[in-house]
Amino acid sequence: MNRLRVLVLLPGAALLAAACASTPPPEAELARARALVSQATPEATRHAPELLFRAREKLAAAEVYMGEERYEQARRAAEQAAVDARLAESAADHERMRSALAEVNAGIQALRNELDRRQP
Amino acid sequence: MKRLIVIVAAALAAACSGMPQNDTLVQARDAYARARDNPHVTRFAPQELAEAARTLEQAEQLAAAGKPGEDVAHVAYLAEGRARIATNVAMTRAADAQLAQAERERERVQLEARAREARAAEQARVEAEQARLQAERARTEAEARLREAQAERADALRKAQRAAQLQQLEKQHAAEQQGLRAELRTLESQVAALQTKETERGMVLTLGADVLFDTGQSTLKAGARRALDNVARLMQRRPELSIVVEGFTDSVGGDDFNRSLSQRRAQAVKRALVQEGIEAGRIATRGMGESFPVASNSSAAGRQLNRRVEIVIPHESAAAGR
Repeated sequence: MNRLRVLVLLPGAALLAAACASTPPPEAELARARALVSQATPEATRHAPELLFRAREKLAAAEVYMGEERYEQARRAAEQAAVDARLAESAADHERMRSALAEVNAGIQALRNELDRRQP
Repeated sequence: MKRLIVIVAAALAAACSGMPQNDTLVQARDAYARARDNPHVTRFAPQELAEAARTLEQAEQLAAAGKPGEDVAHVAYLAEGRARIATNVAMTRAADAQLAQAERERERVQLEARAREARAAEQARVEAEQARLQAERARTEAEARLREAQAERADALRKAQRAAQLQQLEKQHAAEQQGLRAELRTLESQVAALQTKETERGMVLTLGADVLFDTGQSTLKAGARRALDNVARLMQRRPELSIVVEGFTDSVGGDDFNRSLSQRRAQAVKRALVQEGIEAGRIATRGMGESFPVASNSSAAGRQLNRRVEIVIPHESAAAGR
């Protein structure tokens, strides 16, 4: 019975050990997350504050996991922080472009109205 | 296609194995499906969409392999984020493209507006020029009318002045004629042999030839002087007077003789007046012979009347001198 249990448990422990040993520190992922969060534009801060807040929290958590050498958790947190930051930035980009387009279209409409009004 | 099979297989596997559906994975599938179905995304952000697809596939494989929910959720979270990023990027690029087009359109409309403004300005300029020309024409016409009216007024004034002058002259003339007539009447009363009458030719003083000359002679008798002195004094008082001295005879004697005699007698009267100081240029003479009788030559009384000297003071002479 004990042998059987050992036989069952051993491969699991071995697997876990192998997993831990095979996970290198996610330096690249962390660097990428740091860059994206620190380069957040004022537009992104204004347009998607929750997303950026989440990105910062996850980056902070990733830094903590790194310190604790919990590399798998650190990688995941860094990857999610990077995606959150990119999402916030792309949403802000989209909003900026959308409002610029709306402004130009409104200008065109105003010009056309002016033309129609002056039409003899 | 391969991706679709994997996803379907993963879904089936999850369903068959009775594993609980991973909420995050469901959300990731939804987000990816929306992105893929958006034509802007396939056109403007194909690489981002492919990245999202790869990530979702990874999540599906983890789920199909029965990996822990936590592992699946992490990759699914990344897949959902990347699908939404692809959508945002595509929409941004689409808006960018539309913006470029809209800016071209705005330039086109602005050009059109400027062209129309230029046309309107040109039209306004032409209209203003026409109005100016019209005003100029109206002003010129008004000036012409004014000049015409002034000319008419000046003309009317000149005519009125001339009429007034003429009236004045006529009045003066009439007054002078009146004066002359009065003087002649005085002369008539002083000289018994002198008759005055007014004719169309002017004032005519008639002197009987018998008073002035002997029969057939053209030398003035002594008694003639007194009558002619009065005529000379009249002419001296009125230097504007010119006279015509005409001699007449009766029908006794030859025609040529009578004409010659009447001429010599008229010249004798002129000489006498010139001797009294009257300018010769003021006195014309004519010998009329026996023409223009004033009475019948068949009686002695008539013949006496026909022998005469007439001194004519023409109207224009009386009115002359001004």
